[in-house]
Amino acid sequence: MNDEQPTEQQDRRLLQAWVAGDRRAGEQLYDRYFDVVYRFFRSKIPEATQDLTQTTMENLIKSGSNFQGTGSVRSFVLGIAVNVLRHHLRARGRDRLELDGEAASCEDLGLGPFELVAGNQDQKLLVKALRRIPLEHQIVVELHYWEGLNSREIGEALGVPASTIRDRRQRAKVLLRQRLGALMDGEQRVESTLMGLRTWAADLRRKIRGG
Amino acid sequence: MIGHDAMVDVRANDSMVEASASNDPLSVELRRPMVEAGDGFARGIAYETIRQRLFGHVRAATIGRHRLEKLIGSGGMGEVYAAHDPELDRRVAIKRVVGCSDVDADDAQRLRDALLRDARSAARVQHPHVVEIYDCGVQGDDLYVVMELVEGPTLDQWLVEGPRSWREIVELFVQIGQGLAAAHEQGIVHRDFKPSNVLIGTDGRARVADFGLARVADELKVTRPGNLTGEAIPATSLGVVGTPQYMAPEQYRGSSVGPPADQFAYCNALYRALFHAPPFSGRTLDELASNVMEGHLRPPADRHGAPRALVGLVLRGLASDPNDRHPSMSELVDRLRAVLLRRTRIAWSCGAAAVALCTALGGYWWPRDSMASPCAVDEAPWTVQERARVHDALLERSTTDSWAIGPSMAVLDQRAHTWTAARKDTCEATLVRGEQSSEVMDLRVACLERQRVQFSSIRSALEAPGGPAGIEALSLARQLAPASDCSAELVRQLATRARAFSHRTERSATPESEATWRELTERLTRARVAAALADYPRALDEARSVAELAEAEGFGYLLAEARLLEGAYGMRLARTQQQHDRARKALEDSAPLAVASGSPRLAAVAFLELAAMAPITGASEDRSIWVELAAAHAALAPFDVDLSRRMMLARGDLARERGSLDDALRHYRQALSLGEPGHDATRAALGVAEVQRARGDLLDARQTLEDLRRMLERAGGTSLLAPTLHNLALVALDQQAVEEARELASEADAFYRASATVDELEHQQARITLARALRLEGGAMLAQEILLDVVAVLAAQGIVARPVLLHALDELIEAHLDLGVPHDARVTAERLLETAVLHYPDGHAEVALARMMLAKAALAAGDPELALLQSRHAHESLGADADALLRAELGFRYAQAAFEIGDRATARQRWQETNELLDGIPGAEFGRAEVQRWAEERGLDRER
Repeated sequence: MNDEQPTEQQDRRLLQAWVAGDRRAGEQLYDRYFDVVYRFFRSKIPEATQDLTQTTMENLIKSGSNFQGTGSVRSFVLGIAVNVLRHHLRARGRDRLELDGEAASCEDLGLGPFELVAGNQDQKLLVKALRRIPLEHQIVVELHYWEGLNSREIGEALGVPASTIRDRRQRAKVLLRQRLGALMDGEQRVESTLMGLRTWAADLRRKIRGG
Repeated sequence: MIGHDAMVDVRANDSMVEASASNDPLSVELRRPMVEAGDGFARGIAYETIRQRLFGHVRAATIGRHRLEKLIGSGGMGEVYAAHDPELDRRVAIKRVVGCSDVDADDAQRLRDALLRDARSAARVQHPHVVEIYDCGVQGDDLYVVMELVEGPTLDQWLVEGPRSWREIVELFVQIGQGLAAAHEQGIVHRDFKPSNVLIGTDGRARVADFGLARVADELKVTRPGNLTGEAIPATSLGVVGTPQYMAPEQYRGSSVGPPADQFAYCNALYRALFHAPPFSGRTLDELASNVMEGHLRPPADRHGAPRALVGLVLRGLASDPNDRHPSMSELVDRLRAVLLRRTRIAWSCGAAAVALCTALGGYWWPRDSMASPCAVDEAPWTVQERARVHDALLERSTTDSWAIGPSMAVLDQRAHTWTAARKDTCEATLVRGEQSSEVMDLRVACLERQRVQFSSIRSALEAPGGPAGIEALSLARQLAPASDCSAELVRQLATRARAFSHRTERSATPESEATWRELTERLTRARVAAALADYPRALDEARSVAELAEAEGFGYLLAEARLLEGAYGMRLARTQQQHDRARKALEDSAPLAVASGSPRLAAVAFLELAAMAPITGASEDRSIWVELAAAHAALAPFDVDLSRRMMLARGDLARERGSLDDALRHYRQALSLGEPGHDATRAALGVAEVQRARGDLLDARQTLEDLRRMLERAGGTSLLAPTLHNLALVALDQQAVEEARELASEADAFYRASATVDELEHQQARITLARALRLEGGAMLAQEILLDVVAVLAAQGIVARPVLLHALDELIEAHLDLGVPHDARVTAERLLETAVLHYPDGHAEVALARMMLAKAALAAGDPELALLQSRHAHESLGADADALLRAELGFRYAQAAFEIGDRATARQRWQETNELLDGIPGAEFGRAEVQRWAEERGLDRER
């Protein structure tokens, strides 16, 4: 907490310098935020992590001059990442809209053919569960617990009031616990795990349409 | 490459994590660093590549001479990267197999040699349908294989992308089979064939990947978590390598594995692709394994149009004993090709001459080279050009609901596709397979012809300038009857009934009547288009006159359809009881007519319409009868997704009305689970939210609605946003977030105004909510103004609008009272009671509520006698099962009125009753305190 202030000030200086054309400042800022941004996309759109990380970094240079200085650089960077994510989802969501209640989660949006490789079995399940809660909730949980942002900062990144973020985080934890419970029970069940919810839903759709 | 340390930098700063989270086991779990062990490599490449693009340093990661560009896939064996080969200046894919960490150096070396040998032998297979291997080698602990880069989906992705006909699937599998056959000829077995190992290039060419890698991984003892997620499992858990869903019995047993195992996996994948279900069941891995080993093969429940011969070929490939399968992959491929060919050549029209010719030949096998064949080559209800024109027209017109274009085209494609299949099956069932009589064939052909005419008239309506777009186009497309309505079984029943009652079956043979029939079908489509564009008067006129003509001509099905539409549109326009009864009569006529003309589906729809209008007439007992009748008829009809979703919605509405919230929620969720966006799906989501709200689960309700809102916004589904925003406003009101509610309701109002085909009642309801929020915010004047307008609009709507009108009058009374004009309140309350009595029986809660409002207004206007009269009347007519809050408020008004006229004993008695009722109502503390204060001020609490 004590070194929070100076770091933040450094980040601001680096961002200003980069926008002004200082490449070395840019490299430092890149080193500081690469992992944050990479991790953000890796847990959501694994197959496009690299592209989206790159777009975010490029947008950061383009729009760095818009940085108001009211929030932190960290939430500014993540705000850009959130917009890049939204844009990406919109681009691919157009032809495959699903209107069921859970559809806004990564898993149900059919994102990412691959599993994350996490350190141990519990974490693997946790990452899976995260991918099964609505995306907005997933983002809130990750930014809070992984990136250590507080509700105000998350609110800045997502463009919503902090109170909404607090509600959402409570809700997210409830959902996450449900999903986690279901995953632990379901680990042995072929229907839900072996086939994967994604393919199962797709099967159903095709069965109905092909009728 | 930077170290992994940065990945552990999670900054779980305790002071940032709110204190409430600290005893929460989940939050402890979450605070743990997420080290993604196998991911550091990919991350490193991303880091370097982006750094290079942004800042121009060259420090790229390489494998051999190849510069890695990015991660494009990962699975049980390792990761796949896109890379650049500078020497040959081409892009390649590199598979990196990680491992060897648990093995000592000598073993590792020996294993690496073995697997390199395997990979090199796999590289010998050069075939258009096998992914080409350029090179392989070892770097550090890892083996890498350099391959041809195929840009395009894997087979499983391809299958999910859209509905595929059996023909498309078999054509693709023939390519894949050739690839496998070529490998088998080289003595190479795949061992882990599955859809994710097949790549389909943008040129449409399928290529099989990862030959022999399963064995390689086995030898490397790559101990990836053994799992049930469709990845290969390691040697340790079962002593075998493969992917459980696709593994052959001999693989499960651990016996020697040869080409027949690949054939098994191939047929397994083909089975799933064709019939949308796995060939072996099993909820657990053990169960699955034993079903596979014991050969408990499930025959497909639904062939999805695939010919029987094809089913036979697939099942044979899945035989338990490898010797019982097809002799070889190439043999199987030849047989699949033959099925495709046979089906293509059986050509032409089921004309009389062909019937005679075919019957003479005895039907069963149609010679391959015959010039005249009895069944058409994929006749379709529209041409490719027509389809393109519809698509362009929809695209051009879509201003709001652009998302609906995809689903609309999908519905049309599906109808066209199943029509083509049904048309062909009809012909072949009689002429080729000899399964059905020619009478049934004629009936089915007539039925399908009717559908074709309907299809083309809807198509031209969609194509025409000024036609419906967005969601209106989608609902028009959904009105096309599915081809399953013309199934052999249904027309057979129809024929039996026609014989029994000596009815005429649809359409007479004369050319005049044929022309009339076509014209009427076209006119009915015009009625539908008019309705889709919200021109109900025109739609009703058209439907009504088609009904008259169809009746005169004796066109049973057409008459049923016309009466159904007449009833449905009439219902929307009914202003008087008489008009309402007339519409109801049309619907009631339509159902038996539909049954008589062989369409239980149409009958079910008619009953659903009747159920939907039941609340308007206040007859809720009728409603459950209509729903049951609809269900009974729906059960007779072939499965149809739109119908079953509507069924579930109707059941949900019914359950909600009866207060069985759990059941309501279940039905709405079921309706939602049927996917596909549109009105009905949105209705289902709104239903879920309404039930959640009714239960007081406001956070859940808000969540459901916000998810829906986001989805609609992302998709551009503007016309469905209005009801969503309105429901959000209601939730906000419940949460006392008045300002937010006002904003949401006024946004909803704006959306309703912007929409061309608005549901007037829904719109007025949103305005009532807006007025309520305004009043609660202190803007009673503005609220009153809005409500006066709402009441005028609703009054002009006549009988259909009555329930909503009652609500508007309630709000208007409150506004009058807030503004301090109790006499206006009293006049409005009298009107409220009048309207309620007109619509509902005396004991109905609505009537009691109206009396309560009148009592309240009378009290304010200084007329306690009237208040006493009304509240006593209502109090006596209400049963003990009536809503507790209503009874409580009524009791309170009764007490107030009694007190005003000096009857302290009654006042005290009613006050105590009210208290008891309020005690049992969660969340009524505020009202309870108010009532208490009233009694204390008047000393009632001290009397006995």
